[in-house]
Parts: sequence; structure tokens; C-alpha cells
Amino acid sequence: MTKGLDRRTFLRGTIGAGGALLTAASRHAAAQTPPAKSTWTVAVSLDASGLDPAKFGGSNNTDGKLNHIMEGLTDSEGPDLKLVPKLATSWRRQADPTVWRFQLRKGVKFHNGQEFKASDVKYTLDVYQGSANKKNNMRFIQGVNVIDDHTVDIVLKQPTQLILIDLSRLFIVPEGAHRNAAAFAAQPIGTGPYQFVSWTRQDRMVLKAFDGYWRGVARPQNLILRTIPDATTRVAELMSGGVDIVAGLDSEQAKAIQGNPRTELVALKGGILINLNFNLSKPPFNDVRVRRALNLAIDRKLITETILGGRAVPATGPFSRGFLGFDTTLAPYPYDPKQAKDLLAQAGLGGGFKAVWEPDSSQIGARDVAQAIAGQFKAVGVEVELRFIDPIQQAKNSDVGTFEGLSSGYWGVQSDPDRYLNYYFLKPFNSIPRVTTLIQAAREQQDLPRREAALKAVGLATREEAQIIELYSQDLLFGRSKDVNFDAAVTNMGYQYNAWYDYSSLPSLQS
Amino acid sequence: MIVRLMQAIGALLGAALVGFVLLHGSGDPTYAILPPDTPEAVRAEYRQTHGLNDPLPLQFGRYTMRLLRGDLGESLVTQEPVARMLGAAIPATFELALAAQLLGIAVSVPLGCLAAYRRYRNPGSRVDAAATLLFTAGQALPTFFVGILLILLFAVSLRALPVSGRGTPAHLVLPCISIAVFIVAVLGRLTRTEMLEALREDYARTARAKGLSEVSVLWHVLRNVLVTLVTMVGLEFGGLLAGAVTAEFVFAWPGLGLLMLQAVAQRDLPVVLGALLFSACMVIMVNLAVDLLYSLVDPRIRRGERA
Repeated sequence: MTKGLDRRTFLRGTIGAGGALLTAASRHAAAQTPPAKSTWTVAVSLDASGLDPAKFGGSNNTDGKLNHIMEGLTDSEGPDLKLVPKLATSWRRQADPTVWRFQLRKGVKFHNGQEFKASDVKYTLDVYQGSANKKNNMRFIQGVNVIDDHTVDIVLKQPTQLILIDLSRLFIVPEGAHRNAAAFAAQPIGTGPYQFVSWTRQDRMVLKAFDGYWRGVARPQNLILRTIPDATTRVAELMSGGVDIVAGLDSEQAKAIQGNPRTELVALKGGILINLNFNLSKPPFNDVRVRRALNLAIDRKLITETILGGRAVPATGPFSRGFLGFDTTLAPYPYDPKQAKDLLAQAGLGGGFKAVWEPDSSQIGARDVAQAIAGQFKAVGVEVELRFIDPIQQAKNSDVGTFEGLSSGYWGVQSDPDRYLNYYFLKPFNSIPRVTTLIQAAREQQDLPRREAALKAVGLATREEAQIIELYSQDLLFGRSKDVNFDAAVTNMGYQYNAWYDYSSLPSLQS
Repeated sequence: MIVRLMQAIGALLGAALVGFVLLHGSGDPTYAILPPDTPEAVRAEYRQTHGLNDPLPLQFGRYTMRLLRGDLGESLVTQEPVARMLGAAIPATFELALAAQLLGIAVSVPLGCLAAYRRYRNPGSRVDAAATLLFTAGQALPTFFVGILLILLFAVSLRALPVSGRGTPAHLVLPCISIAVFIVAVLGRLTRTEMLEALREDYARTARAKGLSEVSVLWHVLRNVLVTLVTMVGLEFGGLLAGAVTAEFVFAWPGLGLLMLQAVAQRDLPVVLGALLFSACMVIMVNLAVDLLYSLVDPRIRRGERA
């Protein structure tokens, strides 16, 4: 959630100019087709906080690296983020609905040669009970009972199938790993496709393919994850052949990459959902007519096609593709300023009103979009004061409801929207009783089709209540060298939690 | 000396206090450290554990007491001792800053002397005009902009040097030049002005009248302006560190500046404060060292004759 400082604003212009210059420079760069690579180098913006998942994780920068070394019992795969088995091969809810039995995969080895067993699952989840960074994913877990070497019962605090999603982010470590916690943190061990080689803070993490990986040996043989905070430098590294994959691009940099014969653009379509949120405890946003009016006052097509250069699609409901409950039958809100004015008049605000909006400015184009929306609001008589405040304070205000009227935020697409709903729809200042009841009912559904149907009902209800201002799903842009087979849309790691290797070199988990 | 030492300690505590107040006013670090949807109870527990709920004076007092024992605390993000993190980053910054400083001096002093000499001989000198233009441009161009231009030319177009990172001597070239450009501008301009003035002094004319070669005259004159140049090197050390921070960001150079920028973004207060204090310490020590250097470059000071 760290976002633009003034320094960044200062740099933004340079990055834009740098993108244009890169395009020009790339025309002079020699086009070469190097042989298939045994080493891929990836450039990301932030380093991992640490390597012990019991102390770190829950953030993209850390989990997005640890997920190469370690695995959970489940995972999600493909553009639709389908739930798939990983270290567990199957699972079944028991007669007691708070108990789930997991059959564990046999023949799996940790990088130190130790066999993966039920005791490792129990050990890991017991350790995670005390971890601040794992509170979200451990929220339902009461404890673990080992049935035999390859069977565990996970006991929950309440019946829910959300445990299957939560387990995908709970990476299993070998039993007793923390007997020498410092050694484990310095040389982390898991069952994942890559084993740890070295890590220099703020510089690079080096991994190598694990020969004993249960799905086969991943390609490439060596993986280097470099930390390069400046986006222009990341792109220049790609252009010069210094790295093979870069993340976190804006549209100018995307153009530079497309203009280079050696590189190409990879888009994770709609990888990040952007919405505008009301403080429903404050008038006039407690009036559904006002909320609908503001939804109708925005020309999403104009924003997504011009400001965002076609790198976003207008939202159709509160969810985007990938979320369970995404409703393909819903259309975006129409742009209808006349109806918006009528609704405001019906709400007794025909003369317009003033409001304050604290925009999130961390995402690509967010500041320009905020200015455009403020202009469109003004056209229906709503004068919005944009307050670009410190990003950390903005995140806090948005979380605890200490913002005046409007706030905006983003959410990386995940296979189940529960945490997203929890954040944007269930707090005292952003909840509506009818929708809350539906969300709770959806949580109680114990199988996937029913939960999906219940979530669609939630989506419809939030639309009827205009609980949020639905904006757009924005693409996450990556650049890659043409000689590496990187696909951004293959794992649930979604928002920068990528598999930074050739995912097709391993058998699909869906088969 | 004792007075200087007391002043240095005061300056350090002042830097710590300013950093402390500014950082604490910049938001709740749990929003930079923990996942966005972390429950408030967990955030509260985190703040309690790290003493972030205590009144600011109490937190500062505690920090100062630990500081006096030589303990810089632990990073909120990595949970590592700050001293260890600084220790890992400082060699990279030293390497970069030292190389940039040496390159800056190696280019600026001869260029400044040459420009001054040519100007002295011929007021319409083109060499002098070109050097002056270079000095002005160097001061006007921000380090990050120079850095990006260098990357585009030497790394992307010519593929002669690596774009970023640290490892081989080749990695040092571009970040070093991007910082040295500013040093050349400042020191070069000063050398030119001081030399030009000194060349017109009576003692220079006398030396020439005594039949000394032009090179000997220049050396004679240069020794007289060294005190000023050494002073400027000391005064500009803070600027050198600032340039290093920017260059480290642009070139992903894993030093103190990069560590500090990432720590600011993550509101990792102990790391930012540790880096700030170290930088302040370095500036103070360099200025003390400059005072000592005076006596080496100016025999009058050695003999206590300084006016």
C-alpha cells in the first residue's frame, strides 16, 4: 500500500519522459535473438522483508518471492483462478462441519531431502497461529490433528469453505524449522519448484530449480529476482538485455517495450480492481439516490479508453473477472448525467453539493482519473475537493472510516472475494445491513457452486444499493524479452504474486 | 576541540529529533508494514509491542538512551538490528561516494585550472567558455536526470555498460559519473574563479618574472587556492551524500541511500533514523577532517599564522 510521495511526483514526469526516450533509444538497439536461456532475471520494485514465512509475508514483495520456494496445501491456477490441489491431493468436510480432512501428496520432498508429511502441516500451522502477518489467512483455523503420515484434520473456528483459499497462502515449512530460526531465515527450505541459493538485500535473490520437485524440474534452471525500485531503470534493463522480465509498468513504458524488437508486453487483464468508496455514515451518501447519481455521472468508457489508454475495462458490478461471484450478465453503469441530475433533485440536492474525496494515487493513472471524475461530478453539480494526502494516512483513513465523504482504493484480484468484501463492504461506515446479511449468508455456504450463487446475489444487492462507485478493472503490465516464456496469468498469485518462471514447463495442477 | 565535539553531539541529537518528529507525523507504520486488511486488534498489538503508542517524548527519550548505549534498535520491517543493515549497506555507498569524489576532483581541478589559465591569457578563450558552460550545465542538471540519460546512451543504445546493480567495476561507472557531474560543476567553477583571481596576484607575476615555467607558476598558484577547494569539498559532502541517494535509486545500487528510501516508503522509523544519524555523523567527521587538512595544505596554519 505504499504510494506516491512528492519525490515520486517529481520523478513521474521524468519516468514519462524516460519512457519516450527509451522508445527512441530502443530503435537504435541491435535486435538479437539469443539462444534459449538457462537463467532468467526478473526486475521488481520491492525487496522481500524477510525469508521466514512465520515472521514475514502477506505482502506482494515477500510472498511473491517465497512462493517459488514454498507451497501451500491448495493453490489457484489460470486466468479464472481455479482452485487446485497442491500439497494436498483432496479434501472433504467431515460430519462435524468445522473439521476438514486433507489427504496429503505422497513422494514430496523438501529441498533438504526430508519427506513432506502431516507433521509438517501441523507444525507450520501451529507456528503461524502466533504470527501477526498470518492473521488473515489463519482467521478460521483452530488447530490441526494428524491422522496419519499423509492425512490431517484441520479444525475450524466456524464452518466455512474459505479455508481452501486461505490455505493457498500458508506455505508449509519442515517440522522443527524454527529450532534454529536464524539458520532457517538465512536458508529457507520448502517443497517448491526452486530452492534458495542466496539473497543480497536491496539487490537480488538467486534461486535454482529443485531437481527433486514433485511436478518435475522447472525451467529455467536459474532464477534471479532483482530489486530495481525505479521503473525507468527496470525498463532500460529490459531494453539492454540486462533482465528478462519487468513488472509494474505504466502506459508510456508499455509503449517503449512494444516499440523494441527484442521485447514484448504482457498484460494481466483486469488484474487490479479500482473502486470509489462512500463514507455511508455521512450525509448525503447515506441516500441511495445520491450514490446512484454519482455512479451514473461517470463516463467510464472515456476514462478507460483515453486516460488509461485502453488498459482497463469499466467495472460490471463490485467484482472483476477472477473473483468467485463475478457476474457476466451485468453491464457497466451507463453514463447518464441527466438521470444523475434527476436523482440528485429527487434527493433534494438539485442545487448540487460539495464533497471531499481522498483519492488513492498509487495506481497507474490514478491522479489523472481522479481529476477527470471530479470534472464529471461537477457537470452534474457535485463539487468535489480532491485531497491527495500522505499515502499511508490515506490508507488508514480508508480502512477505519476517518475520511470525509469519498475515498478510493484498489484490490488485487483473488480467487475468492471474501477479504475484499470484508474490507470494503462490512465495516460500520461502509456497510448496508441488507448486503451484510447476504455476505454472511454467502460465507456460510459450504460448497463452491452455492457460494458462487450467493456471491452473485451479493453483487446484485451492492449494485441496487449503489454501495460503492464501481470504476474499472485495470491491467497489470509486464515486459518480457521475447526469448522467455513468461505468462502473467497462470497463478492465483495475481497481483504481482507471479510465477516468475516458465509455468508451462510443469504439468498443470488442474489435470 | 571539546567545543567542536559538543557541537557535533548537539547536531546529531538535533538531526535525530527532527527525523523522529517528522517520521512520527507521517502516518501509522502498520499501514506500510502489515497487509491492508489486517484487523485493528492486530495493528494495536503491533503498535503496543513496538512502543509506538507511547507519547512522543517518551519514545524519543527511550531512543536516545538506547542510542547512547550504541543501540540503533531493530527494523520494523525486517526485524534485523539496524546497525547490521547499515553495516551491509555502507560499503556500497562509500565505494560510490569515494569514486565519485575522486573522479569529480580529478576532472574539476585540472579543468578549472585550464579554464582559468586560458581566460587569463585570452579573455575570449573558447576553452574557458566551454568549461564554464559545462560547469553551469552540471549544476543545472539533477543527478537522476543525468543518470537516466547516461543509461539510455551507454547501456541501452551502445550496450557498453550495465544499466544498474553492483558487482563489477563496470557497474560503478554510470552512477559514479552521474554524481561526479555535480561535483565537477561546483569544484570546477570554484577552481576557475579562485585560480583566475590568484593568477592576477602580485606573487604570481613575481614568480613569472623570476623566470619560472608556466606549469610551475600554475602549481604555485594552485597551492594557494587549495585551502578554499578543500573547504568546499567538506561543505559539499552533504550534497555528495544526497547525490548518492538519488544515484542509488536510479541505478539500484544497494547502499545507504536505497536503504533509506525504501525505509521511508515503508515507514521503517528505526532504519530511517539510523541512516540519517550515520549520514549526519559522516558530514560532521568530514568537516573535522577538513579542518585537519588545512594544516597540511597551508604551511601558515601549521605555524599558527592563519589570519
